[in-house]
Amino acid sequence: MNMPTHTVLIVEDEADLREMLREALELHGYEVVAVEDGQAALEAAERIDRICLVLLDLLMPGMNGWDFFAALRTRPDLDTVPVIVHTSTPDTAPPGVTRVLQKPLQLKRLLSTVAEFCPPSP
Amino acid sequence: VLPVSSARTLPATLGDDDFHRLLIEGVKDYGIFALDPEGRVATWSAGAERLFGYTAREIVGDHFGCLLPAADVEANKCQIELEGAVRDGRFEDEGWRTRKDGSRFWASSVVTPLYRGGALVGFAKVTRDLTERKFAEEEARRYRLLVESVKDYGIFILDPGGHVMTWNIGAARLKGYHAHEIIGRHFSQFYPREDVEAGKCEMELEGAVRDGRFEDEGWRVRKDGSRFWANVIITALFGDGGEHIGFAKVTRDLTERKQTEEKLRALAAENAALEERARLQEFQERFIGILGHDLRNPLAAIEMGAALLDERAGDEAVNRVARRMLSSTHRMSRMIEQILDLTRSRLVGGMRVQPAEMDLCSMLTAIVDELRAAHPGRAVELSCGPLHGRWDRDRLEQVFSNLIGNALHYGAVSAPVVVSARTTRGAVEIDVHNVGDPIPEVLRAQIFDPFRRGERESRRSQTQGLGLGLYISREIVRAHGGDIDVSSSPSAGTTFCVRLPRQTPAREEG
Repeated sequence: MNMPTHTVLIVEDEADLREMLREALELHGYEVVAVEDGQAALEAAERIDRICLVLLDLLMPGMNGWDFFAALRTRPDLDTVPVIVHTSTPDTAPPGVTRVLQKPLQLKRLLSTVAEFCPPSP
Repeated sequence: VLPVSSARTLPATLGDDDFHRLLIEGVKDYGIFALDPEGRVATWSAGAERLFGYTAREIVGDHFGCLLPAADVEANKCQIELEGAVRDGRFEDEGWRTRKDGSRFWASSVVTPLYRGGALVGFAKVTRDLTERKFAEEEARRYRLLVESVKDYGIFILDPGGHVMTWNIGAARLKGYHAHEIIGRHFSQFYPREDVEAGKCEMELEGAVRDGRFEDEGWRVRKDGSRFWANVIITALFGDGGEHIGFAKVTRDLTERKQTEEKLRALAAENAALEERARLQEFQERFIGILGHDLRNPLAAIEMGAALLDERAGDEAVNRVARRMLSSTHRMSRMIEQILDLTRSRLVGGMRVQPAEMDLCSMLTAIVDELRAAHPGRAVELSCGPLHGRWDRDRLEQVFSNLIGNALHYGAVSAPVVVSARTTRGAVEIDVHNVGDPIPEVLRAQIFDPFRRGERESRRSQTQGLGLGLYISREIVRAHGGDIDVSSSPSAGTTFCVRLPRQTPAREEG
């Protein structure tokens, strides 16, 4: 069995939305890891072999999106991973993120954005 | 000082009359004694013993200088007294005297020369203790001085009818009258007219008589008509027999204290208002947070799910349902957006815009293109040249999408919607015009109001959200320093005119 080479990391505290995003991307052939806060995301990022994209919510209990992004950028192996902020408050996105998308995100927009960074699994 | 032994031998030339002797001996309040021509004590009365403490045996024969303070003796006062008495027939003075025990008392004394057969045989000296009177006088003088020189308090006396009898510096300073201008005048002069008319003066005096004392704080009037905030204490004065003889009135200027108190009160009120505002602000931010984040998250999940269903389902009925769900989520999204805008404009102190250099004409072109694509078969005419200025592009897109969308929605299907722009001095004006049924008069007056009455019932379509579009459009235009007008008639159709200054004025933070 081939190990997937590209993984999308979803960080979203709202369970319905998180699972819906996972469903959408998996149905379109992406390998997905979805977690509920920044701390879990950092741990997952350590584990995952190759992350092609982080889809990041900002307002989350525990470690929020801003803190996660700051921490991620201090990891030598992870500091260049594209981070797309998916938020209801785009004005507050931290500088240096790859792109900011306003919630609610339409399916087409999600898919086209992810496709830019992650080649679908064969 | 003469030796006592020689003094004892002096003859008692006075007092051969027993009656006179008894009289002199009996007077206790006056020290009466005789001196010989050189000033030595020749006789000594009981009154003198009482005053000075010496017995006759102790003093007779001694020079009277021992009864004066040493300083007076050194100043040759004894000689001056006796010479004065000889020269003028009597010598009178007031001064300190020394008792046997060294203590002093204040005395008045009269020295009279005594002659017999034309020859000076001695002097009569009558001394009276005035210490008590002197102290009383001194005290009264000090008290008067004190009252007169107190600058920070107006202290004066009123007669029982309320007329000014005395006046001190403090009163002059406080009220601006000199003593001669005010003494004899009624104290109502110091009160504002409304207080006088309300009978306050009489009421205060009556209170003072009844309770002994009346205290009040209030406005008083200076000679020049200006006012000061005063603390006033009126004390009724009664004579020894209990008869009412007048009032003492002490007035203090508390204007500064009152101003400070008022400032503090104002400050406290301001703080309370600030706290209230902070609480409200926090509530508003929480509210906006709920709207913006908490409501949109589940909506995003529903939208994503509906889109997935629509994409994956091979069943036409499932697709129809999924699309209904999608259109509902879009509508819901728009409504949340509108409520957010309303909240920002109504609660948080006005819509915020972020102006940047832009061309309004190219923006209008993009909007018109988009609407033409969404409404095939409808005509939208746009006439504009480059319109450069500093505006918030996203917000103006919202305004013109709304206005042109409304024109398409409500205008006659057969006629084009016309968008035309022109420049005026320092501003641009954009008309959005459609023909068709005019806006009813009753609705026109409140067309920019949020949640206007009648709108919900008369709305032709449910796709318009909450009826906040025009309200929000006007808020956005106003945040740019401009305004929107509407004119509508059966013949001319309906025109919304947006006027925008080219530069958005800086927003006043409040």
